[in-house]
Amino acid sequence: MSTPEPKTNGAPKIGVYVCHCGVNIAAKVHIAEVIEFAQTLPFVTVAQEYKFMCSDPGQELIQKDLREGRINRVVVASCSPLMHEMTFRRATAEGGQNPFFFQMANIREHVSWVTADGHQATEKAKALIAAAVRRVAFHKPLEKKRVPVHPHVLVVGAGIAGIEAALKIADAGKKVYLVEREPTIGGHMAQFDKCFPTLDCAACILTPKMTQVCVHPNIELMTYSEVESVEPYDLRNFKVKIRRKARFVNEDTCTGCALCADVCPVSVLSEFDEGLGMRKAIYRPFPQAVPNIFTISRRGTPPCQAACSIHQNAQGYITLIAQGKFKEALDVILRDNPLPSICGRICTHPCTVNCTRADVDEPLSIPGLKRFITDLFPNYKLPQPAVERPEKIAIVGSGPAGLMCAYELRQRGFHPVIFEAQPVAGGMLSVGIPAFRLPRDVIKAEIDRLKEIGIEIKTNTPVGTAVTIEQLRKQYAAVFIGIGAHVERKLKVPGEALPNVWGGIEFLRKVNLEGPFKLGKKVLVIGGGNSALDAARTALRCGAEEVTIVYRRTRAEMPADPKEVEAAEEEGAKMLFLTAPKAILGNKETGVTALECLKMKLGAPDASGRPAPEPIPNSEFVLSCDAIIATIGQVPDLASLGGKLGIEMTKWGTFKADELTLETNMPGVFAGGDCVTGPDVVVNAMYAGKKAAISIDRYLNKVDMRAGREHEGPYRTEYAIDTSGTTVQRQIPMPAIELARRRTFDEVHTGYTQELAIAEAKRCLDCGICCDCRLCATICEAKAINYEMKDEIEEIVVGSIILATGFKPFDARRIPRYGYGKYPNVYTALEAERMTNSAGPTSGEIRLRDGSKPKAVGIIHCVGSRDRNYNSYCSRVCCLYSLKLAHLIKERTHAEVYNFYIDMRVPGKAYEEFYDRMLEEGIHFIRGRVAEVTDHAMTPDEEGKLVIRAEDTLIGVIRRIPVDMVVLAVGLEPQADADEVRRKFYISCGSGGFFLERHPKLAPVQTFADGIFIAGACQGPKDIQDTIAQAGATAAEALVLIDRGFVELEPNTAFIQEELCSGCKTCIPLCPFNAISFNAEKSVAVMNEALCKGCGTCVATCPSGAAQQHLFTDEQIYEEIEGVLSYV
Amino acid sequence: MSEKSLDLTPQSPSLKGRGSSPPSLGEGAGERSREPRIVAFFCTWCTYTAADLAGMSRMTYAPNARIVRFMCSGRVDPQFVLKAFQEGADGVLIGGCHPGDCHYQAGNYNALRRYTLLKRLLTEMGIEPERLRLEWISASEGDRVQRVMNEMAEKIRQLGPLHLEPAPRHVPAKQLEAVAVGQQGGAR
Amino acid sequence: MKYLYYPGCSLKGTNRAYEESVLAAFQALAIEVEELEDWNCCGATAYMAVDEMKSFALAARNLALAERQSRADGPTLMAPCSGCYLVLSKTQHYLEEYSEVSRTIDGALQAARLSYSRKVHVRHPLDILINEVGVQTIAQKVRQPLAGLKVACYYGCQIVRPYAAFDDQVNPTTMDRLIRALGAETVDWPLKTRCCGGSLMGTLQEVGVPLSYILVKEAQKRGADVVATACPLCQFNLECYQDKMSQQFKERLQLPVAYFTQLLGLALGVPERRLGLHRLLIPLPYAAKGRGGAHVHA
Repeated sequence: MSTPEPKTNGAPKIGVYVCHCGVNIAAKVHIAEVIEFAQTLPFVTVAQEYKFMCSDPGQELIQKDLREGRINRVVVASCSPLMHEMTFRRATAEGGQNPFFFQMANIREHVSWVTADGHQATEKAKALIAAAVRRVAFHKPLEKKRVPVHPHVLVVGAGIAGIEAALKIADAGKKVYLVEREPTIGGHMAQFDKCFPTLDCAACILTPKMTQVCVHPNIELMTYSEVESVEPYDLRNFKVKIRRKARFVNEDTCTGCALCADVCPVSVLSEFDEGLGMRKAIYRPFPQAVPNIFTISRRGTPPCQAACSIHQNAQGYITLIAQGKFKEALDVILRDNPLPSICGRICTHPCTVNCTRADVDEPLSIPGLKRFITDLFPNYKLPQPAVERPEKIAIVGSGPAGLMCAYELRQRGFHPVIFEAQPVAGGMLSVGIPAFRLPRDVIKAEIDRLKEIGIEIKTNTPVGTAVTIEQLRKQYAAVFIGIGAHVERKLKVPGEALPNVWGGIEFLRKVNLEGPFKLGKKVLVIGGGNSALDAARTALRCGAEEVTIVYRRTRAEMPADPKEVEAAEEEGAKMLFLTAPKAILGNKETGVTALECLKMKLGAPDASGRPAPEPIPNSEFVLSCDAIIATIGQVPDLASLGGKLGIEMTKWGTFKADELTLETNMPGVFAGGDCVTGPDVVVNAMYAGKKAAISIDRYLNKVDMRAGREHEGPYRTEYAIDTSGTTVQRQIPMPAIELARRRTFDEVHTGYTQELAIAEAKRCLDCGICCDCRLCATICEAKAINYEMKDEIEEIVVGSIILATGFKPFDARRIPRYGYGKYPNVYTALEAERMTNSAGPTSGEIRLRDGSKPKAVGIIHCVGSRDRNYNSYCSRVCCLYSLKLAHLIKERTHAEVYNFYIDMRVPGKAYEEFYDRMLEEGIHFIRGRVAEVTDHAMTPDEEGKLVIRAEDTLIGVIRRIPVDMVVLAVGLEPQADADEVRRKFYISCGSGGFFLERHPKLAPVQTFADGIFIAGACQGPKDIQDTIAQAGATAAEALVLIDRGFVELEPNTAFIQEELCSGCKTCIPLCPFNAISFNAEKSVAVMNEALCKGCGTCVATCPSGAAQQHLFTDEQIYEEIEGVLSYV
Repeated sequence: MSEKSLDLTPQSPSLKGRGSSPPSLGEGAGERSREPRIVAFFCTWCTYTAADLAGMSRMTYAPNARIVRFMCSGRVDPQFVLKAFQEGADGVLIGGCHPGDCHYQAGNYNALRRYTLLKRLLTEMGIEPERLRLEWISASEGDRVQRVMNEMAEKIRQLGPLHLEPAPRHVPAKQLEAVAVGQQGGAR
Repeated sequence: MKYLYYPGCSLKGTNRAYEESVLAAFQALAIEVEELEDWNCCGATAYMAVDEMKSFALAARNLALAERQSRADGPTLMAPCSGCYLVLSKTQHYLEEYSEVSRTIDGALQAARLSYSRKVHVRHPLDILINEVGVQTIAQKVRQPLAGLKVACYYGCQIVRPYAAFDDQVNPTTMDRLIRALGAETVDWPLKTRCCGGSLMGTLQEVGVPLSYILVKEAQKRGADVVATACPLCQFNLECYQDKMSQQFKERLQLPVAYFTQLLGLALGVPERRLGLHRLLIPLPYAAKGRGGAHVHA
């Protein structure tokens, strides 16, 4: 677009009009002198003064001179252009000239009001007038652009301000979006009991409005939602993105019947009751909440569940146990674990590692609690599959991997058949783990349950000999191999073949399958893992008199569970650390007689991260013994079937399977568990079985086996939980049989009793808040609960925005000397409000923490207000709400009430009268700032009381007033995120941090951003009355825009003079509104004036002067600069 | 910038209407005694409004700065600053919105970049860089306007008046009229 | 890091125990401390009231000496006596804030052929122990945990007011944290920084005695075995007048008042004599009963 041909109005004839503004200007600036000066300026044909240029006669002066041709351009020297530029442009237009042949000199705000010396003021005024004259000579006629205003309005914040504004606009028949971040509307007012000065019930006047909002056809209410971003939609309207936070309850179907809250086992402090009461994890802030819809507080997956390989929902059943809901707890357990009674005993419980409780004292005994439930219901059943499918699937090995895989497949309707080489099912569970840790009947029961739901198990059926893998692949839709790792690693020292040298598993298998047998008096166990301890403790139970565990590192490096180590020592096992076997001594006849050992020392860390043991030269020594058990790990039994399978192997002698899907090189054949990973813990084997089952399911349904499986398996959750103030309460140890009986194979631990289990469960800190027990879903008739719900972003277009985001109360903890948070009976005013509220936590009773009625109450005014250390401003409402609270407290408790004030500030209709009434009611008023609240008693009558020390400035003494309860009249502060919010909406904050109005008097609800208005306490502390008034004003502002339908924009857009443009493109990336594009064939920049907002950055950048800005062309500015400098 | 605007040098006496200016603020050239002259380029949204607020709050401050209003500090062309010095200013003050507050998103950042470069340039031209100052002042910071104005005046008083070689004199009178009368489209 | 140490008059006289215990405890923590050479009166006491400028000059001389003696740039001058600590800090503050003070003092120093470039950091031992050494480190070095000892930490007015350089003015916690790190219990009481009577004890005893009585009584009432102080004058007022208090208020008061550094030393295993514990008028029950960390009560 090129320069418009400049229309001109002939040679400049400039009229200068100097305004007295009453005395505002005239008292400081020597008007006569200025006039005289103005006459000497170029093109000035008229220079006049007048008392009030903005008045009609003042404007008439201009119009007359214009009409009668004495002038054709106008300069008015008066107030700020932000105040009256429009007025005088209009005057110029009415005088018959283009309104932009006008320029203003600000000689009030920038001169007379800020300059001490009259002479200097006069000189400054002259300079500014000269500048205006020089500039206006270069002004060009311009046309204002009209832009339509979108008729929809966004109101942010649904406290009383937002509600009022929304209703007004909606009643005018316009569409309103009302966005509130909390689950309910109502804001702070909903928390109040009575309102000053009329003492009418807040709920009675608020709730009707709230319901109106809910049912109003023109209001689209979005609660539990926040404004994500505000972008320009066009030159004047806004595109707003709103985040609808997931409440996990369907807003359309929830009936608000509250049954869910009744069954919800999780209780947390109620925000609405200021922490004085409790609410459930699924909640509605208060009964009259609008909308009457419930919301679930969920922080995400708790650390315990995330850390568990099979994501057992621990918080779920723990919370239910704490509530005594044992049957429900069982259901939660069985949701993701078919072998709970086994896991409850021998799982290495990685869940406890990240338990938040550990930050306070010790993690919960999660397995102990799981076991408690399974013991309580010995005959529980596994869920029957919901679907049936024809396919049969072969599973090789009946260890935890195989069993879990079978269960998961069965639940998906398949028919798994398990092939087990051993005479008993269970794999390592049955042969490798001794009965005193995992009783056989427990294993049997679990396996029987699996059989009951239709899982077939063929024992004594080694694959490779009895059946071949080929047969399996023919007869079955898919194959899973979970044969575990049963073949011992060798010590690789001489004498290993001697009689009475056992492998750990070999030994345990024999005992487990054939029962205990005599080993000898002195037994050495080599190794430091759990199986070493199992072997040692089993050896003791086989009648060995002395059992010593020989380990090449130290206790710190032992991979075994420390609790198991303790148990072994209790039972009499000895430990010999930093010792490694060198040779086994003995002969065929005697069998093993001794072990030759080497002393070791710890060296640099090895692959496992543990320090590698190094032999100390010539440190050999000999330990005599009758038997040796070597427990140094195992590998899969490949001898039997590995070779025949034709499945790819790793160099560690394990099967090679895809990490994510567990599929082997043979299609349809999957492998997992110890036979892939090498010896590992039970829960990981189960995880492998589950993973394989998912893969097999996908394989048979011909869907992608890899997609979306990131969150299978353990991970770490990252959210900080504040554990401060949690009372220390260590883990409750699980009862066990007395040592004497630990020579039998009776189970050592007897499990929690109900009392112990409940006590232990109560230690849970509810990390996830909602514990995902899903009781609410079971009870909800409307089926409104949806745990899968996600946040959604909604996009709307509006023409005006009203911000009514309110305030936050001052945090009384910031003034330690008032003892809030230290002395339990020091309350904030808002807490007191909740107490006085008949629907509140104390149903309207004013009581101390111990439940008793206070006999004396002190109310401290100006907490955080009128104090340079905190907020220097006055919060305006505190005096009156303090009077109100004083009245309510006195009325309900007949206590003596003392108000400690600096000044009583009760301006406003009927406020002073209210104050008088309180005086008559006999409430005490002490003028003086309170020094401190202390529990330090100096006289008997102060004992056990809170003493308020303050100076009584009226009688000039220091007073000590003993009271039972202190109420802190905390001031009002901007919302914590006020700064973030105002940036989103392109507005500014005042010094206190509250949103800044366009003009303190003339535009109290407008902002510097066109079409964005502010109402209520977000603009500054104010009471309900003023808030309502302001809300009305913003509504009016919005309606004005909508009814006019358009706004006229300042024609200060930029334009490009093609003939000067060199096509360097410098301006293009600088434009924040993408208004500039590039015309390749002409090789020039092209300005889209419809998008330009007129900042002028491109103009300042243009190296060739091709870019210019209407109203701010280079020469206009050069003239202005010369003007201010060249004359005075 | 366009050649012509650069040539707009001090006006011929014919045009230099002199008000009854007292000796204290006499001729730009040569007078040690004269009050510092400061030109302030303020953005209309933050700093200019803050100056208005200072006025409304009757905060008196040094009268030396004359304010030129812009829509955005991003419009302040470095040549405006040079022009001001050329025309006899002893100091230049640029005022914009705080970072992140720009009404046009990024104008003030551009201002900042140009300012830093310009300071180097000034040093090379033999002008003390302290004569140029950039300030972020939000619409609510009237007190800050007062402080900055006083500091700036004080600073410049310390530095004393700025003397530049008088630029070659053209005859802009005709031009000026011509331009104003609009004989040459848009003064070009 | 080596710290310069300004003893001041009382640590060399009436309150020798404070100096002994500070030095012994710091040695036990292997922190080097070097006494300021040729130091003079800190400028506290009457000076401040009579002629501020004189007391600034006195303090400034010590600061100048510190700068000269230390090779470090910005040396730390440790002042255990809270009177000295306050005057030195105040002088530092005034030299920075008020040009006329700063001019006069520089003149005075010049006359003494001294100069001071405002680089010295005046710090209290508590500050150094908590913020430089750290409670963890101290806890690790504890040899005789003060298990069972209940301590009322009393900070006095001067180390937190008006310059709360390292702790809260109303509810300071540094000493409590330190004492807890030694294995002792601290009693929670609201009088941590309340007036001990100060020099009124010497001038207007009828005012002074009640003030310190309030403190001793409250500490005893809340079950403290000992009051720990960080100020010679506080220690003196609280300990020496207990008989007077007892007869004046008709109740038996018998509460040991020790320096926090004495307790620190004890826990670090420093012999009692080197901590000046024998100088206490009311013996520390803990010390009296010997070590062993058994429960003790006065």
